[in-house]
Amino acid sequence: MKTLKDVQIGESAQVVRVHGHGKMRRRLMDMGITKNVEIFVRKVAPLGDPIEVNLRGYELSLRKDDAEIIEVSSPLPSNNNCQHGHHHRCRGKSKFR
Amino acid sequence: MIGHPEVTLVDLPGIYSLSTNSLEEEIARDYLLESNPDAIINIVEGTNLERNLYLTTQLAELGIPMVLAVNMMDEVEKSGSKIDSAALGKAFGVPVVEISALHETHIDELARVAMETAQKKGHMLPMHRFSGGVEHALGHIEEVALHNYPEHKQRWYAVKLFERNELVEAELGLSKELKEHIEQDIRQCELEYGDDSDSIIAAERYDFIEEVLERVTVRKKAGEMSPSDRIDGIVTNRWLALPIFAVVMFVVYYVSVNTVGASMTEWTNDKLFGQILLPAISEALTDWGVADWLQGLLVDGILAGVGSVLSFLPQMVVLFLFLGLLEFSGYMARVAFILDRMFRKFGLSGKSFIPMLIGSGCSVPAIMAARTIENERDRRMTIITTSFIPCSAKIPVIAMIAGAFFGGGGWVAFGAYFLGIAAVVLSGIILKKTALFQGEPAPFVMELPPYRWPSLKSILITTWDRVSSFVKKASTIILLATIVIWFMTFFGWVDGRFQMLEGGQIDQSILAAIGNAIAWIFKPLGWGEWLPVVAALSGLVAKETVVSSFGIFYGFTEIAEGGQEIWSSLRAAFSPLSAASFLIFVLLSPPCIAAISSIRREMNSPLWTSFTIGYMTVVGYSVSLMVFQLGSWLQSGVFTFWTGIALALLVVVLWLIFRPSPEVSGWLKQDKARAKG
Repeated sequence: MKTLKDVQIGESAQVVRVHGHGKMRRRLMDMGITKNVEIFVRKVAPLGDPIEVNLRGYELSLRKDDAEIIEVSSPLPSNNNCQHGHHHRCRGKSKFR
Repeated sequence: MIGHPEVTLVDLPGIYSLSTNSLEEEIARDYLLESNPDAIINIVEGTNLERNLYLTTQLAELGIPMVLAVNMMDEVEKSGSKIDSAALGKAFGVPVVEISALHETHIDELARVAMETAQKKGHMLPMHRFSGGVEHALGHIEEVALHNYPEHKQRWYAVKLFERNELVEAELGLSKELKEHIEQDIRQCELEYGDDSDSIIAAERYDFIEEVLERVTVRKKAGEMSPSDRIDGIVTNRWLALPIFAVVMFVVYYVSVNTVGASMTEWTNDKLFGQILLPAISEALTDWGVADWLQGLLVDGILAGVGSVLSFLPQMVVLFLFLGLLEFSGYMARVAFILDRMFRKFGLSGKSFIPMLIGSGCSVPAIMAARTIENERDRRMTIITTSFIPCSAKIPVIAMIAGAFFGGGGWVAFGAYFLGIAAVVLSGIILKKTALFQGEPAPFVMELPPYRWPSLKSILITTWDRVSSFVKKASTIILLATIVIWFMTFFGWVDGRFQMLEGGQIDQSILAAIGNAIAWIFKPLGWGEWLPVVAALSGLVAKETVVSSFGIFYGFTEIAEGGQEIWSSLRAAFSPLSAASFLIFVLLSPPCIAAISSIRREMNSPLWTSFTIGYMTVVGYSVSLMVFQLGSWLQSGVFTFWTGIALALLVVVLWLIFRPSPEVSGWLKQDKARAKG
């Protein structure tokens, strides 16, 4: 299973599912980490952890341990070089289920 | 509200969600649900609508009339984005006011619209709809379980039941059959969406918001770096982050502790109180023929007490101005980001660095600075450990012991700071493994806000709030405590008669009586006489008092800061080893009353305050005991009962440090295993 922790710096990935349970999982979802959202991994802290990601137009920091419970699918074909996260308005999400 | 006495405005904590992840969310949610407000003013950042409107969708379900205030409109306009407020309001079914809190634009209009909304005494019906499958399930839940409830409350409960919220299930008192019935609906929906019900709701909320924003906003083309991104590229850069952090901290420390803070504190203490107010008042009192004891109470008791509170103020004001600047500019969040990895090993937050640094000046503002730490567990750990760092009032004590016994060696001072840092780190490691700090790990998932120019006004307001709350609440306790200690120092029994004492009669004071009564407790530490015990106790007023207490006993009314006059007397009373043990006890035992009262305020719990005091006492006592007893053993080679106790203590401490953390088998491992499976 590929998780957010495996995503390279400067790359994006699409969320498949938030694993885990309780407050952690709830918090991640409240902060906008939901199915299909695209997350851009911007950088890693100077000491190697946590990481800074961009989603839904804002910056979020989370620990690698916690990034490990976020299942993602391989980065979308990179047809934009956006560093700002507005690209989460993702292609391939069905509005009609 | 000013101009409208009939209106009460309640400022609730800033939150991301109503799902009670944190204390703030719980407070806000409970208030909204229990006190039936007439209206909610939901302030959202115009620069970050998507994440902010998530809470709005939850608030709308509460059934309480709402006004949406879109803040930071100045920034939105500057960035070239556009928001169609009317369309936004229509989508959510609420009036929308565009404001800028910074420039105070349209605040009056917001107040007017909010009052109008409240006066209607209507109910809010949420406008947002989820996709078909979810609406179907929610509709069904409302029909079978909630049809007796008012329409505007149904949605909130239906969503909660769909999310399997146990609290709400219990509140509604659903029968077992009904619960099973609902469970079927939920399962079917989960199957259809291939996700868990709570994830479905969160995703649906965001989908609705995305869809609305697509219609009502025109965003600046993404792709170029904003000024904030450029600043962040430097400030949290892999190589530059730590040096920049060091420089920022140096400036904060240098200005607030060393330069402005110290000189202003000295001025308040020595000039204003020592040379101007105290002599003037003493003189006036003598002129008026006020009784000696009353003069003593007023001058040595009350005024000295007020002085000790006020002397912290300048330093505190300067420090809080800086903290406000760091917080509002967005740098504080980066501090946590940069240092998290190092500090979380000790159960602390990256933001704990600032209280620790300030603590080397004074523990009072340091403990208060801990309130920038959101995570309750990290904050508590920081408050417990901060006063281990030697504050500036402990320096005279260090200088006295170093001068009298160790040739004034600078290594003693170095050792004192090292001891303080070691106590913080080891306490972190030990306490983190105890049940007090165990349990479900609190998430470290933190927004990194864009860098902004902070507004002077908001910095001044926060500084004022923090400082004045300290003065109001803490000063009463400190004043009372100083009076009590003053009374115990200057009153006692002379020849069986209770009276006020002359100078040099301190050995007959109430304090000395207490010292005598409890001196045996400190025997194993090597200084079980009433005098060092009283001196150590007097450190509760202020740590530098330890030096002057010795001075008073040895017959000096005024002594130099390092206590040079009494070095020879001290050498007669202590051995170098017992002096070291004494110093260690003063350094690690509970701080002065002013700091203790800050601990009480910040912990906001008598239990945690007592724990902090108790823990520090145990640490100070044990470390002093180990140093004295093991040192004596090494020096004399005689193994006594107490040597055995000291060795046993050492083993316990080492076990506490190195035992495996119960957490390892805990939550995170389970989660990861589940994710892998």
